[in-house]
Amino acid sequence: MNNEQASLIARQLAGESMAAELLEQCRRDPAVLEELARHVALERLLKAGAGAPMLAEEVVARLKYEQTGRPFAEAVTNRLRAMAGRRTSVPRWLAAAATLALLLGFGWLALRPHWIGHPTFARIVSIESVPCLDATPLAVDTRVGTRPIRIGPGFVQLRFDHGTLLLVEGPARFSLRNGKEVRLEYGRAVATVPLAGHGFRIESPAAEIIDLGTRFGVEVRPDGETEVHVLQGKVLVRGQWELRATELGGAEAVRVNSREKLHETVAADTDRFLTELPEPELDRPARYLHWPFDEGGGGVCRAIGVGMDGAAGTGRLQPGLKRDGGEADHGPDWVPGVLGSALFFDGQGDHVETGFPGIAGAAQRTVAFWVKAMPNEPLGFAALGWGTFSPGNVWQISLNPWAHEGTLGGLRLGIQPGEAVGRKNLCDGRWHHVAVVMYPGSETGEANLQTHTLLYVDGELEPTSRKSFQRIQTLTDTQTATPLMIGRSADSLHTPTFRGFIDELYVVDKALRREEIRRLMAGSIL
Amino acid sequence: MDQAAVISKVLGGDIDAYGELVRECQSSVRACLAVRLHDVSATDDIAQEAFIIAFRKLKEFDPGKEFGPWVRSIAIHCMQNHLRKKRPLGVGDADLLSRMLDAQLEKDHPAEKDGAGEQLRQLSICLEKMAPPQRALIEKRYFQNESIASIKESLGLAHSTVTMRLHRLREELRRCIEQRSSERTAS
Repeated sequence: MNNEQASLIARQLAGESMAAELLEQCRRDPAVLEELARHVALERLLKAGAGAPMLAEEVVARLKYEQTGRPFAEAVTNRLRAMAGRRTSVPRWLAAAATLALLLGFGWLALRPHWIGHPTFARIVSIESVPCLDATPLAVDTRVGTRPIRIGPGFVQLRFDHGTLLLVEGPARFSLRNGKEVRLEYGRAVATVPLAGHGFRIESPAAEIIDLGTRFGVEVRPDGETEVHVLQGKVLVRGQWELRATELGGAEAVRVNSREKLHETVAADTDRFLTELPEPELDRPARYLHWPFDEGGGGVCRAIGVGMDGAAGTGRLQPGLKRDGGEADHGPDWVPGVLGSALFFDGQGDHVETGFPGIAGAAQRTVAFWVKAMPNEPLGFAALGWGTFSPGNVWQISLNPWAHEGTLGGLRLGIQPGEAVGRKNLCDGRWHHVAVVMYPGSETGEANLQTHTLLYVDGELEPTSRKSFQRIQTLTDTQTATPLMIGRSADSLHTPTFRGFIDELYVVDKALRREEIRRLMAGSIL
Repeated sequence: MDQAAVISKVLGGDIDAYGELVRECQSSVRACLAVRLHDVSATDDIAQEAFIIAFRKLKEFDPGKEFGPWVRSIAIHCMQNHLRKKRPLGVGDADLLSRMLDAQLEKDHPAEKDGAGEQLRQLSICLEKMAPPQRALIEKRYFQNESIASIKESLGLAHSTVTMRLHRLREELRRCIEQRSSERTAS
C-alpha cells in the first residue's frame, strides 16, 4: 500500500468523493479494495459500537407487549359496548392500564438512561400523536442525546439548550449529532433559530443546511432527496458532493438530489410546514360543552357546561322539510348510541339548533364526537358547524361528500372555501370517534387551515388527502352568523343535510392532545 | 451458557429467558449487520427485528446447532429486505465502488463465522488502550458524529491532517484487534 493509495482511502472515508480514483486503483491492485474494506468495516463497527445497546431489554419488552397488548381503539369500543349506563369517573380498567403504561414507561427510562444520550443537547417540549416505533417511549421533558429517533405520523418538538426550536414531522428518522447539528434521514423539520444558535445545521443524505439566523423548513424524502424552504432569514445549502454552499433567502427554496447531483431552485412552499406546536398548557384546564344525547326522547337535548354556559348549549330538535315542501312531523330520532342514547339525522333536513355561538376568531378549539354513517348513502355538507358563511368565517365538520375534494366519507373540516379531508372513508356502518383540533394562531393572531389544524379518527392522527391554505377567522357575531347547528350546514336548510348518527359531542376551548382525545373516546371527563 | 436449556425455557413461555439469549448473541448480530450496512444507524432496528422473528420461529430451530449463526442468517435476510425498500438503484463510479465493497465485506465476514462480532468485542478493549488524545479524536468522529470540518476547527488542524490521523488511528486499532484475536485463538 503506497501513500497515494492510503491517502485515497483516508479521504474517501472522510466524506470526500474519491470513487473514480479508488476504482482505478482497485482495478490495478486488488489489495487496495481489501484494505478499503478493512477500513470501512472498522469504521462501521466504531459507529455501531457507540453507546451501550439495550437490545435485549427492548426485545423482551416488545415481545411481552405483543403478548398482552391490543389495539387501543378495539379495547375502547369493546369496553363501551359492555357499559350498561353512563360513567362519569375514569373506568377502573382504564386507570389500571394507564398506571401500568406509566410504570412501564418509567421503567423503560430507568433501564436505559443511555437512550437519552450522554451527553444530551435538547429537551422534548411537545409531542403530538407520535406512535412509538423504537419500543422507546417519547415523553415531554425527556432530554435527548445522540441516539437516533424514529417516529411515525405525528410531531415531536425539541428545544435545544441554546434555544433553537426544532419541530419534526413524522414519519421521520433523525438524530442529534451535537448541540448544533441534526441528521435528518427522512421526514420534515422546521428549525427556528435564535441568535445564540447561529450556525445550526441540519444534514440529510443529500444536503447540508447551515442557518444564518432564520426559520427554515427541510423535507427529506425516503430516497434522500431534500428540499429546503426558507421561511425567514437566510441559510446556506450545500449538496453533499459540492465543495461550496449557496445562500438562500426568505421565501426561496431549493431541491437537492445527490444521486443525480442536482441542486435546483423550486417554488417556495412554506405553507406545507407546521412551524410550531404549542407546549402543553398543563396549568390551564379545558372549558367545554358536552352533549351526551342521553335524553332518549323528547324535543330537547341538553348540554353539560364546564367553564361554559350549559344553558346556551341547549339544543332543540328540528324537523326537516318534506319533499313536497311540507314540514316533516318529527326531527332527529332517538336511537341507541355509543354511550346511552344518540341522535339519528335522516338527511332530509333533521337538525338540532342550539344557542351556543361557537368558538370565534382564531382561538384554539377541539370538536370531538362519535359518528356513524352507512355506506352508499348520500352525504350532506355538515354534521355540525357554526359561524358566518363567508370565506374563512365558518367552521363546519362533515363526512366529505365530494370526491374531487378528497376521500368520500373522510372526516372533513370546511371553512368555505378551504377544507382539510382525512383519508379514511368513515361511511362503513360502524361508530367512529372523530376529533378536529385547531391550534392557537400565531403572534399576529392568524391561524391557517393548513398549518394550525389536525384531524383525529379513532384516537389516531388522521393523514389528510387534502389541506387547503386558508386563513381561519370564525365570525360568530355578524348578522348572518348561525350558532352551533348539528346535522346541517350554516348556510341554508335547503342544501343536503347530514344523514347518520351522532353521539357524545364535545366542543372544547383548547387544542387537545391525543391522550386527552382518547380519554373522551373512552367516556372519561377531561 | 447452556443454549439448549435456555431455548427450552423460552419455548416453555419464559420470555425473560429469551433476553439471556439475545444478550449472548447481540454483539455478533449487530456486528454482522454493521459491517454490511451503509447506514449503520439502522443496525439496531434490524437486529431487533431479527431477534423478534427468531423468537417467533424458535420452534423451527434445531437445538443441536448454534443459535448465533441461525439468528445472524435471519438478520442478514432482514437487512436485505430493508435495503430493497430503502436503497435506491444507482449508476456511476460511487455505486460501482459500493457494490465491489459490499462483495468484499461479504467475503471477509461470512455469516456462519463470528469474525465481525469478535472484532466488535475486542474494539472496546483496544479503544481503552489508546492514548487519551487519540481516543478523544475517535470519540469525536464516531461517537459524537462530528464532521471533519467541525473537528478541524475545534483542534486547529488542517483538513488533511485530521483525515490522515483518523486513518492511522484506524490502522492502530485494527492491529490491536488482530493481535488480541490471535492471542485468544492461540490460548
